[in-house]
Amino acid sequence: MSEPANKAWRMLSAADRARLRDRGQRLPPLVFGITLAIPLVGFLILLATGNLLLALPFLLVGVLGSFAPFVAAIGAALLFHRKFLASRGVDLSAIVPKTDAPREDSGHPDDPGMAAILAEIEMERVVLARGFERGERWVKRIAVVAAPSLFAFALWSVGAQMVVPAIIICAGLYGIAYFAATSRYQTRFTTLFKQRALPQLLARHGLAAIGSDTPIPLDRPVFFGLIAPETRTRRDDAFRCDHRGAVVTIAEFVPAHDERKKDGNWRPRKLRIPTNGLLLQIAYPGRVLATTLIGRQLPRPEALAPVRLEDPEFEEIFEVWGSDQIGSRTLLTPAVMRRLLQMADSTDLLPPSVLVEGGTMTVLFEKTTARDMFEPGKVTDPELMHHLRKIADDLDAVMGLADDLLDMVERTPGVRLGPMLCTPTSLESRE
Amino acid sequence: MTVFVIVLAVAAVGALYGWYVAIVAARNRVGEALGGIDAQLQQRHDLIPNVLAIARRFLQHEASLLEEITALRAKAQPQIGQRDFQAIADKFETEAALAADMTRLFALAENYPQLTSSGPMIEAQRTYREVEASIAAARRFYNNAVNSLKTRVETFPGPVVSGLAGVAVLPPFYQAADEARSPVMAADHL
Repeated sequence: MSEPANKAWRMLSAADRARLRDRGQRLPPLVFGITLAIPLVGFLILLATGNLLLALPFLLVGVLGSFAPFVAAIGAALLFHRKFLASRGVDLSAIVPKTDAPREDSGHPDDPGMAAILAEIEMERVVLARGFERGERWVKRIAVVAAPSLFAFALWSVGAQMVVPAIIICAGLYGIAYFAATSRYQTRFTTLFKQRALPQLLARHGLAAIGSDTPIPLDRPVFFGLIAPETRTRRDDAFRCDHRGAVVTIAEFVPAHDERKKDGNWRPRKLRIPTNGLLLQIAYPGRVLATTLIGRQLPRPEALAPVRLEDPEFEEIFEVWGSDQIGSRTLLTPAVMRRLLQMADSTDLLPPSVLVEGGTMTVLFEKTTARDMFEPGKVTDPELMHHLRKIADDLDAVMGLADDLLDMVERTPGVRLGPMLCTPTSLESRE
Repeated sequence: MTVFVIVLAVAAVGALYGWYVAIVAARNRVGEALGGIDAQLQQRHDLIPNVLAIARRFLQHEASLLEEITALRAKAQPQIGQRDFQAIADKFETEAALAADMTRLFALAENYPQLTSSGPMIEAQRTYREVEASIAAARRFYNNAVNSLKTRVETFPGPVVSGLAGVAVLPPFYQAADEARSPVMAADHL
């Protein structure tokens, strides 16, 4: 997608992106309804009058009408898709100011101290990339010979009805062979990267990777519908650190395979739980007065009552539930509401969904793209430094979001906090 | 024709009943919000004697302010639990004056480093800030409920059924005191 389109998407506020997405989700059911209703009108007229001549124009209109929504839907989809595609390549690093001078702070990719590690990874990458390309070549050569033979054999042995299944089988076999021949190189490169380079980048923020066997306490967010159960989600990279007196956990969540298939626009609104997102969990030394859930299109939570707030824009984007009307309002002051609306601006994320309970705040930023964060890129891509800088910037931005959340909690008078060191970091300072 | 009139009459009665239910729900919500405000105000009243006891040791020259706060608290305490909408305005006025005096007291305390650095006073100020934040939240909840009730009562057929729903007088909004809205200049009180 072109740079101007990227800029146009970046210019949108997170609230506008949320509105655009909501409209996009409402469109398919509408198109489906119209597509079903228009021919039905013609059919009902035919049934009621029994006069085909009278019904024929309506049926024709119905038939034409059934095409019209498709055309409109394709047009609208192209329009929305253009907007969403524009987000590809726009990353969290948009928050971080770009400077021409290389950043040489310890652990940054531009730090001279990292050079030895990066050189070692690059040497290994070159070897692995050769293996990857060799495997790719072999699969292609075999496919060129085997596919026509298999296709011809299927036609000769069974007949013309095997054309479509033969194509599907050939494509499937090619995919399996390609994966078998190349995936191990990509996996080894990813593992090497995450063992050698990523810890250096994480160490800049005092972060440490959490193993997949170490659980993140998500019982309550799952109970309140903030995040889907583990059966429907897959935890990708996860990190943890002590930051300003609070324990910050960062995890990237992606939908599990079954969930990805179901996560279409046809799902009822109240059953849609965002699982494709960045989760920030902050355990701070303090407490809020009431359990408060702030979300977008979440299922109605149990044991919480709706809280109607006074900010019309906030009410348009978020739904709020709380265990106590006054306690939830103590947290959601007008300043906090504004902050939540603006927090994800200049990123490719949607406005956050938040669960605040006791001394824990769990925040889920839904992603608008399928982009995997904190990943090194393809093994054959020679731009290793580019990926490293991107991950470093992503980490800076995520920690910036954590700082924003801590600032927000710290400055809310109704939230009692223990010792928390103030740092001058704020959203304004990064703009 | 008769059937049409009957259907119309039933629909009109149904609409009136629906509106009546909405007004009763809104009135009860105002009651709930008032309960929330009272709970927070009670916390403020409970806190004031402790703050005064700490402050009295240092602020002998501000005896008139301390006495005024004591008097206002004595006046405000019996008004807790008041549900008469006409009397509530007076209650809010007293509470606003009390809040303004407390703000003045804390501003004056800034001139006494020994007082502001004492552990009990720091804790009292922190707790008072929390209570004030809760009162502000309760005020927003209450004003929201009042706004909703007023809209239902003042929109037709609200005026017709509001009497039946027991809403003869509309509750007042709870506004922050002018003194609390503007920053306090400690120099003005020296």
